[in-house]
Amino acid sequence: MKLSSPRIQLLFAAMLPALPVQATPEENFVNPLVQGQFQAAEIFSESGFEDKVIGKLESVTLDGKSLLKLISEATEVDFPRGARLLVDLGGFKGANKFAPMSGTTAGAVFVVDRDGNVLVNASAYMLFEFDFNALIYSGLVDFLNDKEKTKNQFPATLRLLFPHRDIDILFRGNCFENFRMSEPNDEGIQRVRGVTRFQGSGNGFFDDERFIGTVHCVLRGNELVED
Amino acid sequence: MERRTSFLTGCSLAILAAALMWVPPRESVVNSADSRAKTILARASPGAGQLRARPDSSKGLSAPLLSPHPADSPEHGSWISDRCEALEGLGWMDDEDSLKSILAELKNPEPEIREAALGAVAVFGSKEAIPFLEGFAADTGDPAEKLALRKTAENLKIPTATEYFARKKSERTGGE
Repeated sequence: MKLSSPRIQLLFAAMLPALPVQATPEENFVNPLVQGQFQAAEIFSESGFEDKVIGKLESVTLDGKSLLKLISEATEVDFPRGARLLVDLGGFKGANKFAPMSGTTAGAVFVVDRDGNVLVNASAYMLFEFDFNALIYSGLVDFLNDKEKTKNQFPATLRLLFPHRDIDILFRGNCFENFRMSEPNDEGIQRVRGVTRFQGSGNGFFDDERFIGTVHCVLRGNELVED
Repeated sequence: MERRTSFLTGCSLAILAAALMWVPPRESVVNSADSRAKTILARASPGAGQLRARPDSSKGLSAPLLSPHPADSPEHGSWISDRCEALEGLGWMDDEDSLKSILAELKNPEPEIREAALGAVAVFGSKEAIPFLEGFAADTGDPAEKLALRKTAENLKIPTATEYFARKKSERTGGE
């Protein structure tokens, strides 16, 4: 949904002082990195006058390929070389650009091949939620020329859920996005680019043991949109 | 006596003249020129000089790709974004050539590309990258970049979930 008249756009801008900016391309490739420690062992022993327990932690990384492997196990689908993860905000822009949003925006996660073709919907195992209602931004939103260059910040969550490996972890944190949208060319086409860094921390279970860790994701979107 | 006085006066004048003719280079002028040169170099290739590969640490790696566009042009920015995207895609591959292409970009003069390359190394997840990362970390003068390179190297030493479950399976099989 694009508003054709600049006057109407300016009217909207005047009516909504904290106008939600465009923010975030619809499709973003994701490079995730999860790290943390889980309770590897609790060894109880009786010695002398008192009982003792020795706790042991183990560190583990869930990088993109590990997550791909877990999704492959869960879906029983083998992925080709170069397969990767993609987050789709599914129509967020059209629905919410000029209106207050209700709740958070879920980002469905897909496994795509190296050409971007969807192989599997992995949203049951990885789910992003972005709270664009809480977005703050700096930079320029030019309604007359329909272009934008902003730095956006908004909260987000990521849940990892792989029941077959007893993994269930919820991360909370903030996204920091560099966003650019060019003004439409003669054919009404705009280039939209966004790089979002999501950093969060969280807890849950890994291999059925208590887990505490951090997540760092880079989401990169680059698309052409029609005015 | 007069001759001796004249001779001494002549010598003194000669020494004074020599001292006046020799003007040592002013440090501020040298520093200023040096700093201007550094500024110009930095503008021409941002980040240049911050990350130089040692001959041994860059062994077997090709030279990083450089933007064919002028540094101030919009095309330059687009080229960098496209290059970052391509590198992040390479991170999901699993062949040696892809890893070497990513590692080569850790020497790129563009900081944004170096950052994307480092992210791609993390996604690639190969322990073979560790010596290269440690080598580059030793070479860079940028403390933040040094820390990021070392942290990535350390992270690669931590077992991945895939490795953990494979080890667990192997232990279980071995125990039976």
